[in-house]
Amino acid sequence: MKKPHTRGRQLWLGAIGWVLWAGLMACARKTDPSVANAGGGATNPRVVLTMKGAAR
Amino acid sequence: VKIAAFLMVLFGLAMNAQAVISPTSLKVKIFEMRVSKNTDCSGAVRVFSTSSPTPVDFFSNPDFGSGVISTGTYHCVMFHISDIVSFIPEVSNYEPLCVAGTSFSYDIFESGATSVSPDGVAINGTGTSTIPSEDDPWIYLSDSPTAITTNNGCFQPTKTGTGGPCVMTPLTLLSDQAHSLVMDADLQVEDGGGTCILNPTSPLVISIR
Repeated sequence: MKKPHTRGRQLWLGAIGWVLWAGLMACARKTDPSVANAGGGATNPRVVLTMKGAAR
Repeated sequence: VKIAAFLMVLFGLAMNAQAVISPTSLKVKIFEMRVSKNTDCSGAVRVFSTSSPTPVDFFSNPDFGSGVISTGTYHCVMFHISDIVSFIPEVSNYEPLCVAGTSFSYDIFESGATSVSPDGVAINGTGTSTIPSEDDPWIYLSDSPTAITTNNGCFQPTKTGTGGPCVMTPLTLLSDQAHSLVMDADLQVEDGGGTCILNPTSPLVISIR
């Protein structure tokens, strides 16, 4: 026979699971170089341009 | 016979002396570099900058700097430079005002010349070839149809009555890349105004490679 507070415990576990999942997704987005830095909005990929001098 | 031989040697030496010569060193101070995805050089982003640059010698293939920018095609490149450049003639010419191994300074942005910063601030040239005075103009290279390297002077981002941008091929950057600002100073050194100068009537040919 179920205890009377089992339903509440399931709701709490569900909420904690959702928070963990959302956190993992946020981390995954931050490590993807094709998406934005802070704020989460998409931007262009970045490259390094090095400039040198030459003469003749 | 001896006199004839002497005259022949003298004539040979005179023929060997040159009016225009080349440098072995060409130093310029570079404060900042920006790039723009627009042909008119608007909306430029900074690649690198420094408030107290050390002169870099174009003949030693120096690194100017680097920066992180977004991928894409850039139609304009611009540099904030000092207009006092120094150079060392490779050989002495026949006067000789240009002396091999001696460093000379030259003002490439003299009184009467005008430039404008990417932010729209006007910059007016001061000094002359014989009395250099430091100003810090911007030079622009773009793929605009009005970009002309030989006559525009490079000091303005768009064509005006007093100049315009020099020519470049657009840079398409999809990965990390290195490019060079190339100065063609070959046979650009000569006597002028009682000193040794860079040829003002045939300005240095500037390009991006």
